[in-house]
Amino acid sequence: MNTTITTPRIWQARQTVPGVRHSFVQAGALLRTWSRDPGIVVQSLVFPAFMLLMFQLVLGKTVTSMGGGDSVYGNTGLVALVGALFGTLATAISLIHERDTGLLARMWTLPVPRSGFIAGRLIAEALRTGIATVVLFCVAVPLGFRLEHGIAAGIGAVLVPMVFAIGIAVPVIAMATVASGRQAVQQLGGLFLLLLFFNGGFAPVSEYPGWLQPVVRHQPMSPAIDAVRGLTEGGPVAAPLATTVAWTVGLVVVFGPVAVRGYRRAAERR
Amino acid sequence: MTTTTVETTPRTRSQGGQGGAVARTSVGPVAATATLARQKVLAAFRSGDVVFAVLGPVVFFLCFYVPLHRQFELGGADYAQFLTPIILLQAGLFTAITATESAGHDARAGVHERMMSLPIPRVTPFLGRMAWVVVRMVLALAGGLAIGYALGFRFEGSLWHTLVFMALVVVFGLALSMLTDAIGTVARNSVSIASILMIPQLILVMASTGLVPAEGFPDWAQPFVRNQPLSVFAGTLRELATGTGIDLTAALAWSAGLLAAGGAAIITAGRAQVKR
Repeated sequence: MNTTITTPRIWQARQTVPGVRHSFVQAGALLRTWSRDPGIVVQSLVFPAFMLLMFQLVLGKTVTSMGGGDSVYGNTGLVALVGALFGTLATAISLIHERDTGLLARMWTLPVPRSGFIAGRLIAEALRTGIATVVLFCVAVPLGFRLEHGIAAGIGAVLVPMVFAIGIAVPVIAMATVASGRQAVQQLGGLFLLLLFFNGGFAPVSEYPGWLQPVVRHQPMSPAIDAVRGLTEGGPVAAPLATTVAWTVGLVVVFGPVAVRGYRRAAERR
Repeated sequence: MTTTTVETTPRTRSQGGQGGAVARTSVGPVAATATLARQKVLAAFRSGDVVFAVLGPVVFFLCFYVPLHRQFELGGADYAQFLTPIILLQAGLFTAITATESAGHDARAGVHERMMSLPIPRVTPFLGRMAWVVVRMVLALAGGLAIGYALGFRFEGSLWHTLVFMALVVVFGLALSMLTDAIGTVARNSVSIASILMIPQLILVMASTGLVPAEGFPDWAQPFVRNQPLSVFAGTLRELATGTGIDLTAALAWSAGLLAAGGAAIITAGRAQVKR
């Protein structure tokens, strides 16, 4: 502070905020903001917990009797992903709010690598989902959920929704920042609702009509649910895990450029 | 865009008194309500809420029907007939949640203050919002009954039974919306309230006899499941749809109670608004 100011060195120093550190600062700021927003806390922590309790209470017995293992494992995986989906929508609403209040524009003028804004956002989405998944696993234990394959596999099971969340967050950021946003976010909510009911976790794939089964089996949530199930209850892990990663990479590749352009436009609009 | 609020004011008379302190002719409750209701409905068309009102029940119907109907129909019953009532009631819950946001938006955007300065009866903004609620419930009925009918739901009772069926659904949505409208008017952050209201919505819909019969629940949950309002309404609606064994007492009592609570909430919220 009180060193004498000899001009250019301070300018030099201002230019070198490392991208990684900036990403994590950005992620931390977002997580703190989200933790104070009741809408986001409810959508990503409280609602999934209640949803799991209700699914087990109402449909647990029925779905278990359909075959395909104890329904609590499928439902826990499913609901962890639902928390990721709807939590991402809630954070998208807060992103639109940040754009409209000019916060994004102000941050855009900071001397930091701009890639860190989106990277930080994706890290924050992944961490939020990870925290929510751990909470959800705790809720699921009294319902009969166990880490049958040990702690390491359990950590893997938490990582699956986190990877999934990154894949989902990219198109959501794209939709939220292109055009006016709110409308698009609502429509995504409708699409997510369909994903929520038409997957291998809600009911065994064989319960769906034949022509729909390929869609149900291959939509992004089904392999992720299978991976969580495999890492906790048991069953194949490698193939569903690879499919989940493939979905995430695919979504990032397809929607990444749109999201980057949309974010830039949102930040530069004012 | 929304400048058309109260154009029905008779121009000639209100302009007659320029200079003097007179000639603010008040607008009748019917005309004012009609104008405000029209404005709400048009806003719903623009925002796409109309589409959600019709398609919401269709989507939820398919979401529950497709994965669950085979298992249910092993017992020989028809799941579309069983499921339709709870889908329509759920549409009522969603309408009420939307009403929270809508009322909250009006309260925050200063619409109330502007309304208060107009020579219209105090209740008309509320009546305008509730008119949209009724329209939304009719749209939801259209969507829900269309998809239900396509998959096997039938009205087997008399015309009167059918009319009472529809009236009960609308009254249910309206009474709940009165309650949530009042909450949205008073609450500071109505969007958060709306997302919190999704939890009771989930519990009431899932833990009811609307999706699976009470026998499917664990013993300790059954007393709640059998007697909570959505089960009561769903049961009565089913009886009305088949036209046999109808007992309206419980559903009518719940309707009256909900309407009374909604009315009281509206009056309280209205008082709080005036004091500002």
